[in-house]
Amino acid sequence: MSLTLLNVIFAVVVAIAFAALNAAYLVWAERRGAGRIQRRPGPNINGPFGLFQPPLDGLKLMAKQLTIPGGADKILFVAAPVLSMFPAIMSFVTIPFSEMIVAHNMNVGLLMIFAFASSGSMALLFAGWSSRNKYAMMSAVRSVSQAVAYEIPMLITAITIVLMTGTMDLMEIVRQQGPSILHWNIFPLLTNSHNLLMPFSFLIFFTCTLAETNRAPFDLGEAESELVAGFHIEYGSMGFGLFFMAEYANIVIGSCLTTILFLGGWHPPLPFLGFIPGVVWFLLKIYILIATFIWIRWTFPRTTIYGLLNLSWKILIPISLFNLLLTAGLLKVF
Amino acid sequence: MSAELVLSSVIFFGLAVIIPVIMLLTAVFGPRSGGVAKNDAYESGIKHVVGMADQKFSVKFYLLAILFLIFDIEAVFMYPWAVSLRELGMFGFLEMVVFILLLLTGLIYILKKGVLNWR
Amino acid sequence: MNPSLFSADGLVGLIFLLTIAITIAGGIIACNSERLVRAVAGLMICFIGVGALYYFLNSPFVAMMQVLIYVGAVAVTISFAIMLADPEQSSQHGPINALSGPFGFITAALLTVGLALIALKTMWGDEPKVNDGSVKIIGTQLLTDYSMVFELVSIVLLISIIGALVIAREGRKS
Repeated sequence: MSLTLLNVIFAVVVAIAFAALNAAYLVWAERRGAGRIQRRPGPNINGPFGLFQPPLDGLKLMAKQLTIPGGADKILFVAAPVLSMFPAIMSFVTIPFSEMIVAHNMNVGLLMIFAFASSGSMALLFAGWSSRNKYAMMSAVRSVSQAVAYEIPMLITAITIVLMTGTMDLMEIVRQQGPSILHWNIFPLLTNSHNLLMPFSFLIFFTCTLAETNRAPFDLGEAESELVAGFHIEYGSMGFGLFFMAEYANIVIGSCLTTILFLGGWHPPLPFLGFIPGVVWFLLKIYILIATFIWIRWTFPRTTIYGLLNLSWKILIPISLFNLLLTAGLLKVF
Repeated sequence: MSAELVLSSVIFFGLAVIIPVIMLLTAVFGPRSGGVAKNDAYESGIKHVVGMADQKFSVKFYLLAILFLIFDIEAVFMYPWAVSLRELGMFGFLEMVVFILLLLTGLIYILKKGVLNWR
Repeated sequence: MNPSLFSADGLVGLIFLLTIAITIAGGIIACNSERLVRAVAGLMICFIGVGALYYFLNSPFVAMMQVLIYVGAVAVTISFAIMLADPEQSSQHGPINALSGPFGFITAALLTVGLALIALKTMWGDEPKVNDGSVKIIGTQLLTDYSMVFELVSIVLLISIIGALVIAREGRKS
């Protein structure tokens, strides 16, 4: 009992450290990748390849003053960044990185990640609302209406996975996807279900992940040319730092979830590659997905808020509902 | 179950303590200064803030929120169904077909009425 | 019978009391704060506390549902509704009847006394667990024993879609 308790505390600390490290170095990777794509070097002064840039940025953020604008709601203003970080870390706790590495597996793990992810939108609203700044307010409303619009197709598409696996336990979902690439849920040719609709589910889910994490081309909440910075415009120092960390932590969680649901989690693509530990495969898959995120961000221009909301309400939601019905029908017929 | 409860709660309350500490770091290390101009809301360098922060928003955002609420509830109802579909047989499947078709009717009605057409 | 504070049971009891404290504190914030934003924040804290109580009642699925729907959707909807209101009106109070204070107090007191009487009179036996609260059992029962309720839910949701539509169209004319 006490040993498990220690394990859990250890896992929580590791989860925060993992989130912070990922946030720091994803920013670096993002800026380097952006540089690559736009034919400029990106950060390259501090340390080899600019690798010291993120910790120095962190130190700088810590040494700044947290200015609270006049007329702002002080308590909510300070609470909002904490509230945005909280669900992100909470979700890390239930993600299985391999058969052995999971802080706290739950049998409603999938729903738990969705629940905490959806409560993150309240943090955005509080941030925008308490700042007393019209840009922050507009951005918060935009971000939240975008987040809620894309949460529905995401939830509905995830149901197709639950249909195929019959469970919401993330570890069990991964276990059923062994041992080779053709057992993964994205293209399950060798499993019993022969479901050829899964690539569509994957596409819908991946699009929703992009939109849920406020990533370009769906980053309407922080359209710099219209809204200056976004809902965190009045935030400096660690308040901004926490929002930033939460954003990147959400990206990591989105890729983890996509990997677990569709890409076989810790399973290697071919059975004879099993000598490499599962966690290596898992991390490889999520970083490939994150690289795709960065690639997409610097390749596509930003859409409009109308196009964004219409894509979800008029296209993705009806399609995902039909997709769900067809998947269930296929499962029942075969 | 009680062990499970303790573990979950430790995670929950542990995080509730640790994350504010990160915020506190700034208060410890950062400088503290103030001033009228410094505490103004940001307005692209213009001296006086133009417009109110709490303006009225389009009623469409509210409609979107309500629609989201409805479809969220719908999606959550589908999860138990999805988990137990294998045991339910054809009747369970047909029930869900009716459920989804009813809501899809609602969505199509909303789309046809053009409420979600912006501008 | 009297578990020590540092045993697992004592810890669970402590956490349970903490959860109740959070729920009640959230409710009080929601009722008593001057600013609507803080009221919504308090409501959110209250919802999370209720979710945790469901978790204590051996139903993690309902707990997650509570967080997903109430914190993620209802609180957002309420916030958007507040944003729709005229900003000048939100800080003003409406006309308050002189009798509303005493009447409110009497109603609340009667309700409290009634609930307390019911709680004290009931024989709280150790009820056997109906089932293990797993999602599978919820799903099976929802679609067999309670299938009528399930279909009625979809009709209620359909009606609320139409209701939302009516509200939005009214708003457009004005």
